[in-house]
Amino acid sequence: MSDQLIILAIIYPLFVGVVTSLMPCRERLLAIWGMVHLALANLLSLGLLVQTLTEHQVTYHLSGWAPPLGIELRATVFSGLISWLISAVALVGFIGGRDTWKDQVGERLPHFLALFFLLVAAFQGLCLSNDAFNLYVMLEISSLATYGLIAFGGGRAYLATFHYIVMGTIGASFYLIGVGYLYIKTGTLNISDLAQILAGVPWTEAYILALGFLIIGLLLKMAVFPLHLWLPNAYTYAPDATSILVAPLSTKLAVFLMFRVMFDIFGGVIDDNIPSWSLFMVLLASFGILAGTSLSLAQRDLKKIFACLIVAEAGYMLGGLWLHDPRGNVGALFHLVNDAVATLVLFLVVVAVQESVGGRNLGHLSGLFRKSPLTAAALIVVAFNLIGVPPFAGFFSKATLITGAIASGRLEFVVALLLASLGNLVIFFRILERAYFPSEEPFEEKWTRSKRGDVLGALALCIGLFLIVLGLQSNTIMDLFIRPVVPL
Amino acid sequence: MSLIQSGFIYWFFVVLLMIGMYGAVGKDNLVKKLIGLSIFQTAIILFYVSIGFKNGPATIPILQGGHGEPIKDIAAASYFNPVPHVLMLTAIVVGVATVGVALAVIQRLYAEYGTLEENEILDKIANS
Repeated sequence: MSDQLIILAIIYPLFVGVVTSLMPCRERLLAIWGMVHLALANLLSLGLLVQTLTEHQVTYHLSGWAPPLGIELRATVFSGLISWLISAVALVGFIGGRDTWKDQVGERLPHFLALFFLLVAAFQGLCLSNDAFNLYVMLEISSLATYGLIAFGGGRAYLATFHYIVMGTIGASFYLIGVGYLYIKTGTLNISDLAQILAGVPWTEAYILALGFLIIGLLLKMAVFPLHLWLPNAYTYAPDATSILVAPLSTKLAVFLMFRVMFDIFGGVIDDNIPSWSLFMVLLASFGILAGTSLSLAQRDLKKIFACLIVAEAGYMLGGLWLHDPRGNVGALFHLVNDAVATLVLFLVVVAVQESVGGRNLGHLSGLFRKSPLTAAALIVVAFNLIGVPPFAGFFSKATLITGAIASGRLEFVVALLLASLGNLVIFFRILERAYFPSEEPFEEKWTRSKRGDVLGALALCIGLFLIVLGLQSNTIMDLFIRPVVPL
Repeated sequence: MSLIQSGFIYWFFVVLLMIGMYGAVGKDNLVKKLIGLSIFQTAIILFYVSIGFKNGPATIPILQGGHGEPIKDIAAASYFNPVPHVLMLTAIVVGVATVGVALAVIQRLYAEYGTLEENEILDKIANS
């Protein structure tokens, strides 16, 4: 049983999804059904995480075909952690999005949830597969499920979905071309096998071209600044039950895939072979951070503000990965974990705010504190995390990134990180000012407490406080999960 | 010239890729965009399939020998590489799914806005 955990983590949500699509549209039944199965999926991933910690690495050969011929699954300690993170975010997102089903999804709920589970399965596959082409398939399955889930938003979501389809398909196709070049040169698709072959040959143009295609494709999927156009609208107009799952995970898994390409396939020696690339990438990342933060400053819709912040966060991780310093790489991966949790809190807060005050524009926020103090508290917690106040995890990930940037002499990245913190301060000041100090004198009847808003706010607050734990234990987490996978 | 001749199929792939990219990004009509996207994906399928090709006499990679006769293994040098073709079966399925989803979205867009020109849709969104 225990050696099957890794494949179960992928196919279990897949089968649940298939069955879900056949179920009757009864909200309560589907909610219990989904929660039970996501809790079980959590146990599976947790088991896998424990297994990776004891065995250091777990591999699985699909249908018993050994690796260069067959598809291999492989979990390192870090992918074990990410696998559990996916299940956990899915469970919390499922619970958090439940209240919005009736208004935003309607009677096609079983189909919506089937796509939801399909997306969880694709994310798991993206995190655990060790085959370059299989990763492309998982990338596309996750995108296709996301297109469907976003289009459930109706109205403006359709055009946003269409743009996402065009950009997402081009991104994945670029990745596929890159894999094709690698296959021509090496004749293998297994990532460990590719790494072995690549370690022994000089880098010709074909390899550099392959790397270029892979990286550009993943930059599109990561929504780094000039290639981010699909993201803000798609995430804003998607149903809340979608964005709460997609926003924390989708771009982060693309970052993880880029990490795999850079360090697992190309052995982390990109800097030694083509140093100009990291110069460009860190510059692009710095620019992307500033652009994402300024975009976010210009918005008035709470959900869009947070969606634009995701664009900025992608820059943090891109820069960290391309810094010529292991501390930068560690910082990028720690930021990945931290950002997934923080984004989950942000989008939970969006749902909680809509439940409590009935809208999500900055104007609606006035007096949020009175109507739902717990939501307002969760907003403060996540604001502190994004600004980078110790002891929140955001402080430690930024500190590690900045240490790495200074060690490799990339001052523009340091400046961008500090300015982004300042930008986040302004963004959250605008939000919190309205939430805590409403400008107009309120009427008495407007001050009713919103119970559902408070429940969601409490959930967001609990996860937000988890960020403090993550921050205080940051060194343990880096030692346990991240440093073993980053080559020093 | 010899550069073009030696890698003719790759040049063809790149040209097709660029045509598709232009369609997907440069056109205003959503269906034309989708056609461009489709060409873009087909170009990649062509690229992969051409990887498996080899000049000269080559056969399909199955065991040879009729019913009741002794089975002959065939040497790897004498058959086409089947792996890229098999990979493309999956990629074609992915492409079909993408086009299907995109067409469904286009249909909803037409029902919503009554047009398929992107700029007209954007105008309608801006005015609403």
